[in-house]
Amino acid sequence: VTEPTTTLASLAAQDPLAALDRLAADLAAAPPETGACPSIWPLLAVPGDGLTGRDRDARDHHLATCARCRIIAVETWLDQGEVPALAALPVATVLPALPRPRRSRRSVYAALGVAAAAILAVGSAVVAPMLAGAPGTQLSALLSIPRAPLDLLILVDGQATFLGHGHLPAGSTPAWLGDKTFRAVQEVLAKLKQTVPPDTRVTLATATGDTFDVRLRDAPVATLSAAALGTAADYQDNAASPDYPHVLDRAAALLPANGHRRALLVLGTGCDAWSGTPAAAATARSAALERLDAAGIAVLSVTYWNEEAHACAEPSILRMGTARSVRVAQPDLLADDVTLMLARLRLDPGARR
Amino acid sequence: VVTALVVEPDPPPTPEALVDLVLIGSPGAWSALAELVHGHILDLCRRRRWAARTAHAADLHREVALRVLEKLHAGDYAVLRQWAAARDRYPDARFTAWLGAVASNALIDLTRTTRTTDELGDEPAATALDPGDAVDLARVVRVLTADLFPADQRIAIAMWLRGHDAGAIATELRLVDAAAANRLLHAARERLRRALRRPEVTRD
Repeated sequence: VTEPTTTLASLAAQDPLAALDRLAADLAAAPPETGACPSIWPLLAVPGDGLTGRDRDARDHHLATCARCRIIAVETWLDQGEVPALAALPVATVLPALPRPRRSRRSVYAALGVAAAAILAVGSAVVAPMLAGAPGTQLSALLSIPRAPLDLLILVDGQATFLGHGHLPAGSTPAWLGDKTFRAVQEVLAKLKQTVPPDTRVTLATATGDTFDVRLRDAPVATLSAAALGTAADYQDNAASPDYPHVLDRAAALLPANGHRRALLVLGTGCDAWSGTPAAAATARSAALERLDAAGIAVLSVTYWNEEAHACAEPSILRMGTARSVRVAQPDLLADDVTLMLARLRLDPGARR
Repeated sequence: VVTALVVEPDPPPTPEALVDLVLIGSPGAWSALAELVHGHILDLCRRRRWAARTAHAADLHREVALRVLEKLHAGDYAVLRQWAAARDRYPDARFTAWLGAVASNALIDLTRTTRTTDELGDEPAATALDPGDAVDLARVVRVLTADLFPADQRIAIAMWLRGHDAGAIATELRLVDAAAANRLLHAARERLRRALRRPEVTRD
């Protein structure tokens, strides 16, 4: 027995785009997620007509009643460039659901306006307070790791090829990268207050050779800004990359000490100025990292290294022996990856307090 | 004769393999999956043009990525387990498509949080869709995703659906001004309308 199907051809003939306008209005008034929603999402990922009859009915009946999942379904189908066939809807479902009076064009536009305003407001009204730990947000429920403040040391590679803005001889390739990476590090600093818990204390230092230049000491993260880095000209004469074994060993003394969880964030090319052989340098770095680990200090590193622009043969700090080390392919991805690393610090159940 | 023995490095684990490793509690698997998912979601946000050409787009994308990670991690990976169960039944199911659905859900949460009853005014709350509309919706998307539908018109419709105004559409598509975007949108809707008026062979 074939169940009667609905095409509602007459409705489509009146206004074929009614469903589209309804969807646009849904965006402005999507209901909360229900317990059933996540169980439907995997069914949206099955291509073609591969679902069993029961799953297809479950998907389509859910879509008929859940505006949120309709939006999700359309986004998914648009993205995949493929639309599954919707199940034939039984007449018992169709009959009670006669077309309601259409919303006026004005109300649709009003709803869209609300949606647009909502999207525009996300950055200032939602993201910032949420990232800053506003009560009641989902971020505050981050599993086993609460949003406790950090004592954070940001250690930036101070060599000229990373932060300076010098000029290579005419005709040199590639173009000097310092300006780009300087701005990328500024962006990291400007955004950090949105990424870490609000009571976090920060020390910012740059390193060249085995010397530090402390630019901000044990300050509230709210006071951290791009200006703390100074100007690119400040780094113009720094020929050496950090001597990481020595720098890491002395980093613990620079960390703010306010009883919070302690973390060291290293930003740089990863080149190491240690004077010994590469193997000896790796051993010395590992030993320094083990000492930091034993002291309960989480070490994160995000490196940008370019084989043509940077002097070292490879970004040796990537072999720090920690899983919390990533290398980005472009300077402007530094900020994204710092956010990810700090998120992982919170998500990692094995992280030390 | 010296024979060089070339040992190929192990290929990186696939997302599917990482999901399985996470679910059996393999150390480090979650971190690896989280890193992979984070990058994928950022790509997806850019591809879908969420908050395109706005100053806060990157922040929004990062927040969506974080929310997806939270969603996957919550409740002892409950959502991830649902995905794995469905994938076992349907081996063709696409991890990236499912991840896109989770990301869309996160975006809706972000946009919903900013609205208040006052802002919504007397707009009715979302209710059940007419079943006919559900069928029509699938037809709409099918037409939009057809090869013959112009890409710029498809993008314009998709952005309009997400609440972007004509100015944003013009900027994204590099049109001269908002009026040009409105014309493109109008043309897209008319093309869609004509396509939908054609009879469609339905499958019982």
